[in-house]
Amino acid sequence: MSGLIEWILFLALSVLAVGMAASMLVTMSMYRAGLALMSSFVALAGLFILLNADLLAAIQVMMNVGGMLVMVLFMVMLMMDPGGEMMWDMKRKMHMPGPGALSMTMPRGAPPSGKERQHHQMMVDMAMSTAQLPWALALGAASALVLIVLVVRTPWPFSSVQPTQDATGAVGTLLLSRYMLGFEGAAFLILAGIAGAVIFARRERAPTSRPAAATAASGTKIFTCPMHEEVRQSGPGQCPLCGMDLTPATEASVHHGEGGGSA
Amino acid sequence: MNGPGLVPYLITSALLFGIGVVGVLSQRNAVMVLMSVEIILNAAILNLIAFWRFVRPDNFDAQVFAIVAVTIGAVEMAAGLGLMLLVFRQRGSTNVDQLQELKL
Amino acid sequence: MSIGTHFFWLAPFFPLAVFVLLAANLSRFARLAIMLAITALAGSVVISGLGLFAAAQGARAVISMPWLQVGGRRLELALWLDPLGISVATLVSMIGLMVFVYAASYMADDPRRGRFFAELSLFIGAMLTLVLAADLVTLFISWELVGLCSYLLIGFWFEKPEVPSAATKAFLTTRVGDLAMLAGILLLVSAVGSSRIDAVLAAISTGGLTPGLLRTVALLLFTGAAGKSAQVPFQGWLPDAMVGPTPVSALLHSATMVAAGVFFVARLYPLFLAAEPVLALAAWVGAITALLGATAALVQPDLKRLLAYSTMSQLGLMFMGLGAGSLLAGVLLLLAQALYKSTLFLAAGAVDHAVEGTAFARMGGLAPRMPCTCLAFAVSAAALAGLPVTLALPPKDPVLAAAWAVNLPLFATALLVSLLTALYSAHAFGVVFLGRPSAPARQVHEARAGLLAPTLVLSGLVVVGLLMNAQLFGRLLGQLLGVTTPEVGMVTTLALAVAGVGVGLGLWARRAWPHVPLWPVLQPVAPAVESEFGLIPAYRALRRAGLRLIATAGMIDRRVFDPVGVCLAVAARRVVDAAARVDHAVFDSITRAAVQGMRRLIQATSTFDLRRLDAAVRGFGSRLLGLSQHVRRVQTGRIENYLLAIFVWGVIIIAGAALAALL
Repeated sequence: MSGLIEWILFLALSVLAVGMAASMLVTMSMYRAGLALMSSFVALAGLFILLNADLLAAIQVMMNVGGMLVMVLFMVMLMMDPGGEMMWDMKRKMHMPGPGALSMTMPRGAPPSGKERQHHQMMVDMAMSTAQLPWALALGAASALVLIVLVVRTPWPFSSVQPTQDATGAVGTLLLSRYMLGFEGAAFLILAGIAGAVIFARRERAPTSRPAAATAASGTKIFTCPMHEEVRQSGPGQCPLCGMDLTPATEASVHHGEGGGSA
Repeated sequence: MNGPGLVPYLITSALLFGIGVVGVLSQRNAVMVLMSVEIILNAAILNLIAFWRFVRPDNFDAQVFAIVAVTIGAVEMAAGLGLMLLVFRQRGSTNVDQLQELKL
Repeated sequence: MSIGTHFFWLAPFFPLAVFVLLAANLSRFARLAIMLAITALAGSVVISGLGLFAAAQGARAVISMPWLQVGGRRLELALWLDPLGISVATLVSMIGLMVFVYAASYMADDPRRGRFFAELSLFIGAMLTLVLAADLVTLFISWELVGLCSYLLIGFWFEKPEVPSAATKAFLTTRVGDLAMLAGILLLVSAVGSSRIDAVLAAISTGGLTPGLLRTVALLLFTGAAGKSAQVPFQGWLPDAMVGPTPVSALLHSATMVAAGVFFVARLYPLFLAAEPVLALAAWVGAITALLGATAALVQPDLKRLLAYSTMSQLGLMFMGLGAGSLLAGVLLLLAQALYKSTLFLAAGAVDHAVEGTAFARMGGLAPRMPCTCLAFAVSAAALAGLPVTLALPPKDPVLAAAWAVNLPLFATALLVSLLTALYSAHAFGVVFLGRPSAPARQVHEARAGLLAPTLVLSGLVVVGLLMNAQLFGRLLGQLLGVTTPEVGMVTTLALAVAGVGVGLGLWARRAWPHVPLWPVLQPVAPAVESEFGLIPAYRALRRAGLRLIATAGMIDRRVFDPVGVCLAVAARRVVDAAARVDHAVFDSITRAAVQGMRRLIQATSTFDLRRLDAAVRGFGSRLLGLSQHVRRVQTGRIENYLLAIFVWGVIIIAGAALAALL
């Protein structure tokens, strides 16, 4: 294809990739963050195709996009507010300026006393980024800058050889001939990863059941705030820290409470 | 007019890398951190492919490398998510700043 | 040449070797000791006999052994073979052998007899050395050894109360004489330049010594001889020496040791001949002693003491002979006296064993009970008295003849002594063996063979010795000694007459007073005579004065020197106290001040240390802690911080490397 079309395609895809990656950090919704990342990866796949690495583009889409799906699933499972509505509400109520998550930054400094303390605490709880944000930004910018400067200044040994059409076939041949060991090793690694992940994710039966049974046997139902586990009440109500409705303590919370207490 | 050479791709990957770094170092949620690591990894793979295309297109070893890297990225994600799950079970939260046990 | 010539020196060597063996604790084995001693002495007899034969044939020999190097002069110990020496040596060893055999029986019950024989062996060895000595040093050494043995042997029965003082008296008295003798020897040796006797005699004959020196030396030497031979004024020890065992009396104090003085004068006779006044002095000293001894012998109540005084008297006669100018007279009487006096003592010892005592009161009428002893005693007493024994002329005649040749008073004294000698010898014989026996004497029987045999042998020798009458024997001896025999026919007749008168009187006296030991006619004078005419009390007074002097000296020391010493000590003490006070006052205060200064210095340094140094250290420590607190903040424990750190470092490193590469 001609150079111009290439350029246009390149720019579009690049902007998409970078922009989506940036928006992933900005958005308050986890779900949207996952989607943004997925689209960033798809753009990257497009870039791969531009670079005549078709196989890799396909692999990228299958693996990473699939991975992102899993990620989104996880987020939905684990997050309290995967959609980010709660955050939006809070942001509106409290009149916090700034785009998305960037306004929900970790307050710096020591917690003040009195009424401000509650507000401060709430901000701490809600913050989406840690107190390192300025540093991170600086570092990110610096590293990007450094890399760009290096890239520009280095006299790369260009090769004007055109790649073959059948890149896929060549790669496949390589994988199964010269890099068989690596190929199989990668497969093995995947297996190990699966096994490891399964082992990680297994639930421990014995220690957790007793405390839960004890609490259940006592008959008292403990309500806790989903955001603040330390808040516990015997009856339903609202969390004094953030105003959310208290939910009954689940096994996980209890377990956490026990675990948190013991840890 | 020629298409974009090596350098624009590298610039793109540099920018992606920077964004990934920001995410790794500033996100409070562990899952977000993992996703930022994925960004970084993909930036590196983009770099790899760009080099293959413009420096040594006849040698497909780079593509094999990229495939393995992607694989590793996936496995790493799985492991990371497994760990995260454990942490969540322990604490009921995925906030990174709650993982403070390394403090003396 | 012959054995005698070469090995004559073995004569003293054998007994001395036996002594050394016995001294090394072998004297415990008494029988072994006795056998060794007797065997050795028998050997000595043989050797000296052979030597005598050789000397008679004209052989002469000298052996010497280097001893010391003193002040450029070399001292040697030398023995020589010469007629005078070897003949006396033969006689001494013969008599000694008899006495040894006698002693083996006499001392059979004594538990210390091994030691006795060791001492006897030493004595005989020393005596033989003395007689054979070729130089004055050897002679003096053996002279002293003989004196030591006399002390040891007299004091052998030291449990008896009177014995230790008698032995000490003998030793000290002879010692005084020995001092004079040493002085004389030293003078002589320094004048002559050599201690050898032949060198000395040669020097004298060539006239190398001044008359004054000669007389002084002769006087000193004669004093030593007089001491050893119990002459006045050194005579007091001999009678008291009889407390020793009879063999000792027989050997030492009758025949040999006491004769050493006479022998010494005979040895150095040319020296004395050259110093005329000393010779005259010797003659008169001998005369006085002879008279004293003879008179005292007559009034003694004890047989051994009688014999002791007799010995003293006979020695006086010998000195008279020598002093009268006749070497032969002195030597002849020496040899004869040795024989018959030792026989008399051995017989006396047998009687002593029989009646268990030597006092005359215990004896009497022993003739029928102890016939052999009686015979031996008779023969020897006759010889002592001057009676001709088997037709031989008595040996006293040359002495009388020599005295006759000098002057009348000397001759008269000698004649008187002969009379007295006859008297007391007859008296002794009569009191012991004739007349009525006293109570203890009635149950006795003859002496046993061990005692009897030597006695009879010696008495036999008396006869044999005197068989060669004075003329014959004298001529032989004269040839041997190279001197002539003084002979005066009238003297011989006079002597015989006197002897006969004396013996007759003595025997008649016994018949007259059969049961008293002392003649009543002598009783008034007995105390005076017994005390040696006042000499004994004089000596006792001298001794008392000496002791008092020592006590006074001690008192002076206590009264004078001790207070002086005490004053000195007190003064010294005061000085020391004063010094101590000074020390306290001065030095202690200095020390105290120094200590105070040190203490202040220490305090200052410690304050400095506490305030400054400690503060510095503490400040440093606290600053370090503060620094660590600051550094500690890096450890947040948060993963995000660590990640940030890693990234920062990574960026820095890469940037740095890149810059370095680019630039």
